[in-house]
Amino acid sequence: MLKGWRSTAIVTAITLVTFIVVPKLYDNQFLLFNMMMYMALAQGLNIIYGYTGYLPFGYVGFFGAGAYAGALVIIFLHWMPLIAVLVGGLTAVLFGMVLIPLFRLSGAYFSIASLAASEALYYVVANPHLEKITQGPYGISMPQAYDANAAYWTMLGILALSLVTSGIIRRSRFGLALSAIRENPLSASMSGVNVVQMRSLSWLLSAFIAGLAGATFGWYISVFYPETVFSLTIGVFTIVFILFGGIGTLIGPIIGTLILYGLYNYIGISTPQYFQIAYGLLIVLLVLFLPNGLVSLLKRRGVDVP
Amino acid sequence: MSPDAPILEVGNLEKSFGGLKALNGVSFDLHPGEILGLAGPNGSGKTTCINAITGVFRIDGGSIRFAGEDIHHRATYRRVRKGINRTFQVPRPFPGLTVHENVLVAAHYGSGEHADAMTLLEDTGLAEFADKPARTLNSSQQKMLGLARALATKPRLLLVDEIGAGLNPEELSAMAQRLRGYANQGMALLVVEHLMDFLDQVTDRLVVMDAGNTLFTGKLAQATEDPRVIEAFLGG
Ligand SMILES: Nc1ncnc2c1ncn2[C@@H]1O[C@H](COP(=O)(O)OP(=O)(O)O)[C@@H](O)[C@H]1O
Ligand SMILES: [Mg+2]
Repeated sequence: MLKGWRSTAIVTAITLVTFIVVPKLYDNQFLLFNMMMYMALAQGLNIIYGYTGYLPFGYVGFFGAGAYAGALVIIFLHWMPLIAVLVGGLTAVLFGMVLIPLFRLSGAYFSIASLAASEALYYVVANPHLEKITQGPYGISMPQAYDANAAYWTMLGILALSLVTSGIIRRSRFGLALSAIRENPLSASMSGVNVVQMRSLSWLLSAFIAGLAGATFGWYISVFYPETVFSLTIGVFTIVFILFGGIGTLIGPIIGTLILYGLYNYIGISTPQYFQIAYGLLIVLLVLFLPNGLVSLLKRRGVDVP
Repeated sequence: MSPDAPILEVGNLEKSFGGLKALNGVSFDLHPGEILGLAGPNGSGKTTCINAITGVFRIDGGSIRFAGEDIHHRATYRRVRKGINRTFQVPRPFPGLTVHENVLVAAHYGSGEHADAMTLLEDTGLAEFADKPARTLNSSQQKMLGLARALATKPRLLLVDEIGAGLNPEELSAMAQRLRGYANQGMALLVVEHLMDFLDQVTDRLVVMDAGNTLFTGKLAQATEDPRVIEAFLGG
Protein backbone atom coordinates (compact mmCIF):
# COMPACT_ATOMS: atom_id res chain seq x y z
CA MET A 1 0.00 0.00 0.00
CA LEU A 2 2.83 2.39 0.78
CA LYS A 3 4.54 1.56 -2.48
CA GLY A 4 3.20 2.33 -5.93
CA TRP A 5 3.62 6.09 -6.03
CA ARG A 6 4.74 5.85 -9.63
CA SER A 7 1.64 4.11 -10.92
CA THR A 8 -0.47 6.60 -8.97
CA ALA A 9 1.27 9.50 -10.67
CA ILE A 10 0.95 7.87 -14.10
CA VAL A 11 -2.78 7.22 -13.73
CA THR A 12 -3.34 10.80 -12.61
CA ALA A 13 -1.30 12.23 -15.47
CA ILE A 14 -2.96 10.12 -18.17
CA THR A 15 -6.43 11.05 -16.95
CA LEU A 16 -5.69 14.76 -16.89
CA VAL A 17 -3.91 14.82 -20.23
CA THR A 18 -6.86 13.03 -21.78
CA PHE A 19 -9.21 15.83 -20.78
CA ILE A 20 -6.77 18.42 -22.10
CA VAL A 21 -6.35 16.75 -25.49
CA VAL A 22 -9.77 15.29 -26.26
CA PRO A 23 -11.65 18.64 -26.49
CA LYS A 24 -9.46 19.43 -29.49
CA LEU A 25 -10.71 16.30 -31.29
CA TYR A 26 -14.25 15.98 -30.05
CA ASP A 27 -16.67 18.85 -29.68
CA ASN A 28 -19.19 17.68 -27.08
CA GLN A 29 -17.66 19.74 -24.30
CA PHE A 30 -20.59 19.26 -21.94
CA LEU A 31 -20.21 15.50 -22.05
CA LEU A 32 -16.50 15.77 -21.28
CA PHE A 33 -17.25 18.27 -18.53
CA ASN A 34 -19.76 15.88 -16.97
CA MET A 35 -17.34 13.01 -17.31
CA MET A 36 -14.70 14.97 -15.37
CA MET A 37 -17.31 15.99 -12.84
CA TYR A 38 -18.37 12.40 -12.20
CA MET A 39 -14.77 11.29 -11.95
CA ALA A 40 -14.11 13.99 -9.35
CA LEU A 41 -17.29 13.10 -7.45
CA ALA A 42 -16.44 9.42 -7.63
CA GLN A 43 -12.99 10.12 -6.22
CA GLY A 44 -14.50 12.33 -3.52
CA LEU A 45 -16.96 9.62 -2.52
CA ASN A 46 -14.09 7.15 -2.60
CA ILE A 47 -12.29 9.17 0.07
CA ILE A 48 -15.08 8.61 2.55
CA TYR A 49 -16.61 5.34 1.37
CA GLY A 50 -13.65 3.57 -0.18
CA TYR A 51 -11.25 4.24 2.64
CA THR A 52 -13.44 4.38 5.77
CA GLY A 53 -16.42 2.25 4.70
CA TYR A 54 -19.15 4.82 5.38
CA LEU A 55 -21.45 5.19 2.35
CA PRO A 56 -23.41 8.46 2.32
CA PHE A 57 -26.46 8.00 0.05
CA GLY A 58 -26.92 11.75 0.34
CA TYR A 59 -23.49 12.65 -1.02
CA VAL A 60 -25.22 14.78 -3.66
CA GLY A 61 -26.26 17.14 -0.83
CA PHE A 62 -22.70 18.52 -0.78
CA PHE A 63 -22.86 19.00 -4.53
CA GLY A 64 -26.15 20.91 -4.27
CA ALA A 65 -24.90 22.95 -1.33
CA GLY A 66 -21.84 23.93 -3.34
CA ALA A 67 -23.87 24.79 -6.45
CA TYR A 68 -26.21 27.07 -4.50
CA ALA A 69 -23.57 28.72 -2.34
CA GLY A 70 -21.48 29.47 -5.42
CA ALA A 71 -24.43 30.85 -7.36
CA LEU A 72 -25.65 33.02 -4.49
CA VAL A 73 -22.32 34.78 -3.98
CA ILE A 74 -22.13 35.40 -7.73
CA ILE A 75 -25.66 36.79 -7.87
CA PHE A 76 -25.75 38.82 -4.65
CA LEU A 77 -22.13 39.69 -4.00
CA HIS A 78 -20.92 39.71 -7.61
CA TRP A 79 -17.90 37.65 -6.65
CA MET A 80 -15.65 36.16 -9.27
CA PRO A 81 -16.78 32.67 -10.30
CA LEU A 82 -13.46 31.14 -9.21
CA ILE A 83 -13.89 32.50 -5.70
CA ALA A 84 -17.51 31.38 -5.79
CA VAL A 85 -16.33 27.85 -6.53
CA LEU A 86 -14.15 27.96 -3.42
CA VAL A 87 -17.11 29.26 -1.42
CA GLY A 88 -19.10 26.31 -2.75
CA GLY A 89 -16.44 23.90 -1.48
CA LEU A 90 -16.27 25.56 1.93
CA THR A 91 -20.05 25.62 2.30
CA ALA A 92 -20.10 21.88 1.69
CA VAL A 93 -17.43 21.50 4.39
CA LEU A 94 -19.62 23.47 6.76
CA PHE A 95 -22.59 21.25 5.93
CA GLY A 96 -20.29 18.26 6.48
CA MET A 97 -19.33 19.54 9.94
CA VAL A 98 -22.97 19.81 10.91
CA LEU A 99 -23.43 16.18 9.89
CA ILE A 100 -20.45 14.75 11.79
CA PRO A 101 -22.71 13.40 14.58
CA LEU A 102 -24.18 11.03 11.96
CA PHE A 103 -21.05 8.91 12.42
CA ARG A 104 -22.55 7.66 15.66
CA LEU A 105 -24.90 5.68 13.43
CA SER A 106 -23.64 2.54 11.87
CA GLY A 107 -23.90 1.09 8.38
CA ALA A 108 -27.22 1.53 6.66
CA TYR A 109 -28.47 4.01 9.27
CA PHE A 110 -25.65 6.37 8.44
CA SER A 111 -26.34 6.02 4.72
CA ILE A 112 -30.03 6.76 5.09
CA ALA A 113 -29.56 9.60 7.55
CA SER A 114 -27.19 11.34 5.15
CA LEU A 115 -29.82 10.97 2.41
CA ALA A 116 -32.40 12.53 4.72
CA ALA A 117 -30.04 15.42 5.41
CA SER A 118 -29.53 16.00 1.71
CA GLU A 119 -33.27 15.92 1.08
CA ALA A 120 -33.83 18.32 3.96
CA LEU A 121 -31.38 20.77 2.45
CA TYR A 122 -33.11 20.39 -0.90
CA TYR A 123 -36.49 21.28 0.63
CA VAL A 124 -35.01 24.30 2.34
CA VAL A 125 -33.48 25.56 -0.88
CA ALA A 126 -36.61 24.84 -2.93
CA ASN A 127 -38.94 26.42 -0.39
CA PRO A 128 -41.03 29.15 -2.10
CA HIS A 129 -40.81 31.27 1.08
CA LEU A 130 -37.11 31.68 0.44
CA GLU A 131 -37.71 32.94 -3.08
CA LYS A 132 -35.95 36.22 -2.36
CA ILE A 133 -32.76 34.38 -1.49
CA THR A 134 -32.64 31.05 -3.31
CA GLN A 135 -35.33 31.78 -5.94
CA GLY A 136 -37.04 28.72 -4.40
CA PRO A 137 -38.44 26.27 -6.95
CA TYR A 138 -37.91 28.75 -9.81
CA GLY A 139 -34.23 28.05 -9.77
CA ILE A 140 -31.05 29.99 -10.36
CA SER A 141 -30.28 32.04 -13.42
CA MET A 142 -26.94 33.80 -13.75
CA PRO A 143 -26.25 34.35 -17.46
CA GLN A 144 -23.79 37.13 -16.51
CA ALA A 145 -21.38 34.48 -15.16
CA TYR A 146 -21.65 32.07 -18.10
CA ASP A 147 -18.22 31.00 -19.34
CA ALA A 148 -18.20 27.35 -20.34
CA ASN A 149 -14.51 27.25 -21.19
CA ALA A 150 -13.38 28.72 -17.89
CA ALA A 151 -15.71 26.35 -16.03
CA TYR A 152 -14.31 23.43 -18.03
CA TRP A 153 -10.73 24.17 -17.00
CA THR A 154 -11.82 24.76 -13.43
CA MET A 155 -13.41 21.33 -13.39
CA LEU A 156 -10.16 19.90 -14.72
CA GLY A 157 -8.41 21.51 -11.74
CA ILE A 158 -10.95 19.95 -9.37
CA LEU A 159 -10.47 16.58 -11.00
CA ALA A 160 -6.71 16.97 -10.54
CA LEU A 161 -7.22 17.90 -6.90
CA SER A 162 -9.49 14.93 -6.29
CA LEU A 163 -7.09 12.49 -7.97
CA VAL A 164 -4.06 13.81 -6.13
CA THR A 165 -5.87 13.82 -2.79
CA SER A 166 -7.22 10.33 -3.26
CA GLY A 167 -3.88 9.06 -4.59
CA ILE A 168 -1.96 10.50 -1.66
CA ILE A 169 -4.45 9.11 0.83
CA ARG A 170 -4.23 5.69 -0.75
CA ARG A 171 -0.45 5.56 -0.46
CA SER A 172 0.01 7.30 2.87
CA ARG A 173 -0.12 6.44 6.56
CA PHE A 174 -3.31 8.50 6.74
CA GLY A 175 -4.90 6.16 4.21
CA LEU A 176 -3.62 3.18 6.16
CA ALA A 177 -5.28 4.55 9.29
CA LEU A 178 -8.54 5.09 7.39
CA SER A 179 -8.44 1.51 6.12
CA ALA A 180 -7.83 0.32 9.66
CA ILE A 181 -10.92 2.23 10.78
CA ARG A 182 -12.92 0.61 8.00
CA GLU A 183 -11.70 -2.85 8.96
CA ASN A 184 -12.20 -2.54 12.71
CA PRO A 185 -12.70 0.78 14.48
CA LEU A 186 -12.02 -0.58 17.97
CA SER A 187 -8.75 -2.15 16.88
CA ALA A 188 -7.86 1.08 15.11
CA SER A 189 -8.20 3.08 18.31
CA MET A 190 -6.30 0.35 20.14
CA SER A 191 -3.53 1.01 17.61
CA GLY A 192 -3.44 4.64 18.66
CA VAL A 193 -5.52 5.99 15.79
CA ASN A 194 -7.75 8.94 16.65
CA VAL A 195 -10.76 7.46 14.91
CA VAL A 196 -13.10 10.44 15.29
CA GLN A 197 -10.56 12.94 13.97
CA MET A 198 -9.39 10.85 11.02
CA ARG A 199 -12.87 9.93 9.94
CA SER A 200 -14.05 13.54 10.19
CA LEU A 201 -11.09 14.72 8.18
CA SER A 202 -11.80 12.33 5.33
CA TRP A 203 -15.49 13.23 5.48
CA LEU A 204 -14.75 16.94 5.15
CA LEU A 205 -12.26 16.40 2.33
CA SER A 206 -14.87 14.38 0.54
CA ALA A 207 -17.50 17.09 1.12
CA PHE A 208 -15.09 19.78 -0.10
CA ILE A 209 -14.57 18.06 -3.44
CA ALA A 210 -18.31 17.60 -4.00
CA GLY A 211 -18.94 21.25 -3.07
CA LEU A 212 -16.31 22.49 -5.52
CA ALA A 213 -17.73 20.26 -8.24
CA GLY A 214 -21.28 21.45 -7.55
CA ALA A 215 -20.35 25.13 -7.71
CA THR A 216 -18.45 24.59 -10.95
CA PHE A 217 -21.35 22.66 -12.44
CA GLY A 218 -23.72 25.50 -11.54
CA TRP A 219 -21.34 27.98 -13.13
CA TYR A 220 -21.06 25.90 -16.31
CA ILE A 221 -24.78 25.59 -16.90
CA SER A 222 -25.58 28.93 -15.17
CA VAL A 223 -29.32 28.15 -15.18
CA PHE A 224 -30.55 25.39 -12.89
CA TYR A 225 -33.30 24.25 -10.53
CA PRO A 226 -33.03 22.76 -7.04
CA GLU A 227 -33.81 19.31 -8.44
CA THR A 228 -30.99 19.66 -10.97
CA VAL A 229 -28.26 19.88 -8.35
CA PHE A 230 -29.85 17.78 -5.59
CA SER A 231 -30.78 15.09 -8.09
CA LEU A 232 -30.91 11.53 -6.90
CA THR A 233 -29.50 10.52 -10.27
CA ILE A 234 -26.22 12.26 -9.56
CA GLY A 235 -25.99 10.41 -6.24
CA VAL A 236 -26.90 7.03 -7.69
CA PHE A 237 -24.54 7.46 -10.64
CA THR A 238 -21.61 8.37 -8.43
CA ILE A 239 -22.19 5.38 -6.19
CA VAL A 240 -22.60 2.92 -9.04
CA PHE A 241 -19.53 4.25 -10.85
CA ILE A 242 -17.23 3.69 -7.89
CA LEU A 243 -18.76 0.35 -6.96
CA PHE A 244 -18.43 -0.84 -10.53
CA GLY A 245 -14.83 0.23 -10.92
CA GLY A 246 -13.68 -0.66 -7.44
CA ILE A 247 -13.73 1.25 -4.19
CA GLY A 248 -10.60 2.06 -2.25
CA THR A 249 -8.43 2.37 -5.36
CA LEU A 250 -7.49 5.34 -7.50
CA ILE A 251 -8.15 3.75 -10.86
CA GLY A 252 -11.44 2.00 -9.99
CA PRO A 253 -13.60 5.15 -9.91
CA ILE A 254 -11.95 6.38 -13.11
CA ILE A 255 -12.67 3.17 -14.99
CA GLY A 256 -16.16 2.86 -13.54
CA THR A 257 -17.09 6.38 -14.63
CA LEU A 258 -15.53 5.99 -18.04
CA ILE A 259 -17.42 2.80 -18.83
CA LEU A 260 -20.80 3.44 -17.20
CA TYR A 261 -21.08 7.14 -17.95
CA GLY A 262 -19.87 6.45 -21.47
CA LEU A 263 -22.52 3.75 -21.85
CA TYR A 264 -25.18 6.07 -20.50
CA ASN A 265 -24.33 8.72 -23.05
CA TYR A 266 -24.06 6.26 -25.88
CA ILE A 267 -27.43 4.57 -25.44
CA GLY A 268 -29.20 6.04 -22.44
CA ILE A 269 -29.45 9.76 -22.92
CA SER A 270 -32.89 9.53 -24.56
CA THR A 271 -34.29 7.24 -21.88
CA PRO A 272 -32.58 8.35 -18.67
CA GLN A 273 -35.29 6.93 -16.42
CA TYR A 274 -34.41 3.36 -17.46
CA PHE A 275 -30.81 4.01 -16.62
CA GLN A 276 -31.66 5.13 -13.14
CA ILE A 277 -33.44 1.82 -12.62
CA ALA A 278 -30.77 -0.22 -14.38
CA TYR A 279 -27.98 1.40 -12.40
CA GLY A 280 -29.91 1.05 -9.16
CA LEU A 281 -30.18 -2.67 -9.86
CA LEU A 282 -26.52 -2.77 -10.78
CA ILE A 283 -25.64 -1.38 -7.34
CA VAL A 284 -27.51 -4.27 -5.71
CA LEU A 285 -25.83 -6.85 -7.93
CA LEU A 286 -22.38 -5.39 -7.38
CA VAL A 287 -22.77 -5.28 -3.61
CA LEU A 288 -23.86 -8.92 -3.67
CA PHE A 289 -21.48 -10.41 -6.20
CA LEU A 290 -18.55 -8.11 -6.88
CA PRO A 291 -18.28 -5.81 -3.86
CA ASN A 292 -14.81 -4.62 -4.79
CA GLY A 293 -15.61 -3.91 -8.40
CA LEU A 294 -13.83 -4.61 -11.67
CA VAL A 295 -10.34 -3.96 -10.36
CA SER A 296 -10.75 -6.69 -7.76
CA LEU A 297 -10.56 -9.15 -10.65
CA LEU A 298 -7.04 -7.85 -11.29
CA LYS A 299 -6.16 -7.76 -7.61
CA ARG A 300 -7.08 -11.42 -7.34
CA ARG A 301 -4.41 -12.12 -9.92
CA GLY A 302 -1.89 -10.37 -7.73
CA VAL A 303 -1.72 -7.10 -9.68
CA ASP A 304 -0.97 -4.12 -7.43
CA VAL A 305 -3.76 -1.88 -8.74
CA PRO A 306 -3.10 1.83 -8.28
CA MET B 1 7.09 9.21 40.62
CA SER B 2 9.26 6.97 42.77
CA PRO B 3 10.67 3.85 41.12
CA ASP B 4 8.56 1.49 43.18
CA ALA B 5 5.32 3.41 42.66
CA PRO B 6 2.59 1.37 40.96
CA ILE B 7 2.13 2.03 37.25
CA LEU B 8 -1.54 1.03 37.43
CA GLU B 9 -3.89 1.64 40.35
CA VAL B 10 -7.44 0.44 39.94
CA GLY B 11 -9.86 1.32 42.72
CA ASN B 12 -13.45 0.21 43.22
CA LEU B 13 -14.29 -0.14 39.54
CA GLU B 14 -17.99 -0.23 38.80
CA LYS B 15 -19.72 -0.92 35.53
CA SER B 16 -23.28 -2.00 34.77
CA PHE B 17 -24.80 -3.24 31.56
CA GLY B 18 -28.49 -2.60 31.92
CA GLY B 19 -29.40 -4.27 35.20
CA LEU B 20 -26.26 -6.42 35.29
CA LYS B 21 -23.39 -5.30 37.51
CA ALA B 22 -20.41 -6.57 35.55
CA LEU B 23 -17.94 -4.79 37.84
CA ASN B 24 -18.85 -4.15 41.42
CA GLY B 25 -15.86 -2.74 43.29
CA VAL B 26 -12.73 -4.26 41.77
CA SER B 27 -9.39 -2.98 43.10
CA PHE B 28 -5.76 -3.89 42.50
CA ASP B 29 -2.44 -2.35 41.55
CA LEU B 30 0.44 -3.29 39.40
CA HIS B 31 4.10 -2.26 39.41
CA PRO B 32 6.57 -1.97 36.54
CA GLY B 33 8.15 -5.35 35.78
CA GLU B 34 5.41 -7.19 37.60
CA ILE B 35 2.94 -9.78 36.35
CA LEU B 36 -0.43 -10.02 38.01
CA GLY B 37 -2.72 -12.93 37.23
CA LEU B 38 -6.45 -12.27 36.98
CA ALA B 39 -8.62 -15.36 37.27
CA GLY B 40 -12.28 -16.05 37.81
CA PRO B 41 -15.15 -18.04 36.35
CA ASN B 42 -16.67 -17.18 32.98
CA GLY B 43 -18.69 -14.02 33.16
CA SER B 44 -17.03 -12.79 36.35
CA GLY B 45 -15.94 -9.54 34.69
CA LYS B 46 -12.30 -10.12 33.68
CA THR B 47 -12.65 -8.88 30.10
CA THR B 48 -14.86 -6.03 31.29
CA CYS B 49 -12.00 -5.03 33.57
CA ILE B 50 -9.59 -4.86 30.61
CA ASN B 51 -12.18 -2.93 28.60
CA ALA B 52 -12.52 -0.44 31.44
CA ILE B 53 -8.75 0.09 31.70
CA THR B 54 -8.35 0.55 27.96
CA GLY B 55 -11.34 2.87 27.68
CA VAL B 56 -13.57 0.76 25.45
CA PHE B 57 -16.35 2.27 27.56
CA ARG B 58 -16.59 4.71 30.45
CA ILE B 59 -16.80 3.28 33.95
CA ASP B 60 -19.75 4.12 36.21
CA GLY B 61 -17.60 4.57 39.29
CA GLY B 62 -14.16 4.06 40.77
CA SER B 63 -10.77 5.24 39.61
CA ILE B 64 -8.10 4.23 37.12
CA ARG B 65 -4.67 5.77 37.60
CA PHE B 66 -1.88 5.12 35.15
CA ALA B 67 1.64 6.36 35.93
CA GLY B 68 0.14 8.56 38.63
CA GLU B 69 -2.47 10.17 36.37
CA ASP B 70 -6.22 9.72 36.47
CA ILE B 71 -7.11 8.41 33.00
CA HIS B 72 -10.69 7.23 33.35
CA HIS B 73 -12.04 9.99 31.09
CA ARG B 74 -9.37 9.62 28.39
CA ALA B 75 -10.16 8.28 24.93
CA THR B 76 -8.74 4.87 24.06
CA TYR B 77 -6.20 6.12 21.56
CA ARG B 78 -4.77 8.49 24.18
CA ARG B 79 -4.41 5.71 26.74
CA VAL B 80 -2.64 3.68 24.05
CA ARG B 81 -0.23 6.50 23.32
CA LYS B 82 0.47 6.86 27.05
CA GLY B 83 1.59 3.25 27.15
CA ILE B 84 -1.37 0.95 27.71
CA ASN B 85 -2.31 -1.84 25.37
CA ARG B 86 -4.05 -5.18 25.37
CA THR B 87 -4.81 -8.28 23.41
CA PHE B 88 -8.35 -9.42 22.70
CA GLN B 89 -9.84 -12.67 23.94
CA VAL B 90 -11.22 -13.13 20.44
CA PRO B 91 -8.62 -11.63 18.07
CA ARG B 92 -9.66 -8.50 16.20
CA PRO B 93 -7.24 -8.08 13.33
CA PHE B 94 -7.76 -5.77 10.35
CA PRO B 95 -8.75 -8.72 8.15
CA GLY B 96 -8.34 -7.08 4.75
CA LEU B 97 -4.99 -5.45 5.51
CA THR B 98 -1.77 -7.39 5.23
CA VAL B 99 -0.16 -8.80 8.35
CA HIS B 100 2.59 -6.22 7.99
CA GLU B 101 0.10 -3.35 7.63
CA ASN B 102 -1.75 -4.58 10.73
CA VAL B 103 1.35 -3.92 12.80
CA LEU B 104 2.43 -0.87 10.82
CA VAL B 105 -0.67 1.12 11.81
CA ALA B 106 0.05 0.56 15.48
CA ALA B 107 3.77 1.21 15.05
CA HIS B 108 3.04 4.52 13.41
CA TYR B 109 0.16 5.84 15.49
CA GLY B 110 0.62 4.07 18.80
CA SER B 111 3.55 5.95 20.29
CA GLY B 112 6.01 8.70 19.55
CA GLU B 113 8.92 6.33 19.00
CA HIS B 114 7.97 4.18 16.02
CA ALA B 115 8.54 0.47 16.58
CA ASP B 116 9.88 -1.57 13.69
CA ALA B 117 6.94 -3.61 12.43
CA MET B 118 9.08 -6.19 10.64
CA THR B 119 11.18 -6.95 13.73
CA LEU B 120 8.01 -7.53 15.70
CA LEU B 121 6.72 -9.90 13.03
CA GLU B 122 9.97 -11.85 13.16
CA ASP B 123 9.79 -11.96 16.94
CA THR B 124 6.25 -13.35 16.89
CA GLY B 125 6.96 -15.84 14.10
CA LEU B 126 4.77 -14.09 11.53
CA ALA B 127 7.42 -12.69 9.20
CA GLU B 128 6.71 -15.21 6.46
CA PHE B 129 3.06 -14.05 6.31
CA ALA B 130 3.91 -10.34 6.19
CA ASP B 131 2.31 -9.71 2.80
CA LYS B 132 -0.71 -11.97 3.29
CA PRO B 133 -4.09 -10.54 4.32
CA ALA B 134 -4.57 -11.03 8.06
CA ARG B 135 -7.78 -12.94 7.41
CA THR B 136 -5.72 -15.85 6.06
CA LEU B 137 -4.05 -16.49 9.43
CA ASN B 138 -5.31 -19.28 11.68
CA SER B 139 -6.58 -18.41 15.13
CA SER B 140 -3.35 -18.90 17.07
CA GLN B 141 -1.47 -16.86 14.45
CA GLN B 142 -4.12 -14.17 14.83
CA LYS B 143 -3.46 -14.16 18.56
CA MET B 144 0.23 -13.63 17.87
CA LEU B 145 -0.64 -10.85 15.47
CA GLY B 146 -2.75 -9.23 18.19
CA LEU B 147 0.24 -9.43 20.49
CA ALA B 148 2.60 -7.98 17.86
CA ARG B 149 0.17 -5.13 17.22
CA ALA B 150 -0.06 -4.33 20.92
CA LEU B 151 3.73 -4.41 21.28
CA ALA B 152 4.10 -2.07 18.32
CA THR B 153 2.69 0.73 20.48
CA LYS B 154 5.52 0.18 23.02
CA PRO B 155 3.26 -0.43 26.00
CA ARG B 156 4.44 -0.05 29.58
CA LEU B 157 1.32 -1.89 30.66
CA LEU B 158 0.07 -4.89 28.71
CA LEU B 159 -3.29 -6.51 29.41
CA VAL B 160 -3.44 -10.05 28.08
CA ASP B 161 -6.88 -11.63 27.70
CA GLU B 162 -6.89 -15.46 27.73
CA ILE B 163 -4.06 -15.78 25.28
CA GLY B 164 -3.47 -19.35 26.44
CA ALA B 165 -6.82 -20.72 25.30
CA GLY B 166 -6.36 -23.18 22.45
CA LEU B 167 -2.59 -23.47 22.82
CA ASN B 168 -0.95 -26.87 23.37
CA PRO B 169 1.30 -27.41 26.43
CA GLU B 170 4.49 -26.58 24.55
CA GLU B 171 3.04 -23.39 23.10
CA LEU B 172 1.74 -22.52 26.55
CA SER B 173 5.12 -22.68 28.20
CA ALA B 174 6.70 -20.76 25.30
CA MET B 175 4.04 -18.09 25.81
CA ALA B 176 4.66 -18.03 29.54
CA GLN B 177 8.36 -17.56 28.96
CA ARG B 178 7.66 -14.80 26.45
CA LEU B 179 5.45 -12.90 28.90
CA ARG B 180 8.03 -13.25 31.68
CA GLY B 181 10.58 -11.88 29.23
CA TYR B 182 8.48 -8.74 28.73
CA ALA B 183 8.20 -8.29 32.49
CA ASN B 184 11.94 -8.66 32.87
CA GLN B 185 12.34 -5.70 30.53
CA GLY B 186 10.21 -3.63 32.90
CA MET B 187 6.76 -4.03 31.38
CA ALA B 188 3.82 -4.50 33.74
CA LEU B 189 1.42 -7.25 32.72
CA LEU B 190 -2.09 -8.19 33.72
CA VAL B 191 -2.64 -11.74 32.58
CA VAL B 192 -6.25 -12.83 32.45
CA GLU B 193 -6.50 -16.58 32.32
CA HIS B 194 -8.46 -19.40 33.72
CA LEU B 195 -5.82 -22.01 33.07
CA MET B 196 -4.21 -22.19 36.52
CA ASP B 197 -1.22 -24.17 35.21
CA PHE B 198 -0.43 -21.40 32.80
CA LEU B 199 -0.80 -18.71 35.47
CA ASP B 200 1.48 -20.73 37.70
CA GLN B 201 4.20 -20.56 35.06
CA VAL B 202 3.80 -16.83 34.69
CA THR B 203 3.39 -15.38 38.14
CA ASP B 204 2.80 -16.05 41.79
CA ARG B 205 0.56 -13.04 42.42
CA LEU B 206 -3.10 -13.42 41.70
CA VAL B 207 -6.44 -11.65 41.86
CA VAL B 208 -9.53 -13.80 41.68
CA MET B 209 -12.81 -12.23 40.64
CA ASP B 210 -16.32 -13.47 41.05
CA ALA B 211 -19.48 -11.74 39.88
CA GLY B 212 -17.74 -8.39 39.47
CA ASN B 213 -16.02 -8.46 42.87
CA THR B 214 -12.44 -9.10 43.92
CA LEU B 215 -12.72 -12.35 45.80
CA PHE B 216 -9.07 -12.93 46.58
CA THR B 217 -5.76 -11.12 46.27
CA GLY B 218 -2.51 -12.84 47.15
CA LYS B 219 -0.24 -15.78 46.42
CA LEU B 220 -1.44 -18.19 43.78
CA ALA B 221 -0.60 -21.18 46.00
CA GLN B 222 -2.94 -19.83 48.68
CA ALA B 223 -5.72 -19.12 46.24
CA THR B 224 -6.13 -22.77 45.35
CA GLU B 225 -6.70 -23.54 49.01
CA ASP B 226 -9.07 -20.67 49.70
CA PRO B 227 -12.59 -22.08 50.18
CA ARG B 228 -14.27 -19.03 48.58
CA VAL B 229 -12.11 -19.40 45.48
CA ILE B 230 -12.79 -23.12 45.27
CA GLU B 231 -16.49 -22.49 45.61
CA ALA B 232 -16.51 -19.76 42.98
CA PHE B 233 -14.79 -21.99 40.46
CA LEU B 234 -16.81 -25.11 41.24
CA GLY B 235 -20.06 -23.23 41.68
CA GLY B 236 -19.44 -21.10 38.57
N1 LIG C 1 -20.80 -4.93 26.17
C1 LIG C 1 -21.55 -5.67 27.03
N2 LIG C 1 -22.89 -5.53 27.03
C2 LIG C 1 -23.65 -6.23 27.88
N3 LIG C 1 -23.18 -7.12 28.76
C3 LIG C 1 -21.86 -7.33 28.80
C4 LIG C 1 -20.96 -6.61 27.92
N4 LIG C 1 -19.70 -7.01 28.19
C5 LIG C 1 -19.80 -7.93 29.18
N5 LIG C 1 -21.08 -8.11 29.55
C6 LIG C 1 -21.54 -9.00 30.63
O1 LIG C 1 -20.76 -8.73 31.78
C7 LIG C 1 -20.42 -9.92 32.45
C8 LIG C 1 -18.93 -10.06 32.55
O2 LIG C 1 -18.43 -10.37 31.26
P1 LIG C 1 -16.88 -10.54 30.96
O3 LIG C 1 -16.14 -9.41 31.52
O4 LIG C 1 -16.74 -10.77 29.51
O5 LIG C 1 -16.53 -11.87 31.75
P2 LIG C 1 -15.22 -12.75 31.72
O6 LIG C 1 -14.23 -12.09 30.80
O7 LIG C 1 -14.76 -12.80 33.13
O8 LIG C 1 -15.64 -14.09 31.22
C9 LIG C 1 -21.07 -11.05 31.68
O9 LIG C 1 -22.31 -11.36 32.30
C10 LIG C 1 -21.30 -10.46 30.31
O10 LIG C 1 -22.40 -11.05 29.68
MG1 LIG D 1 -13.40 -12.76 29.05
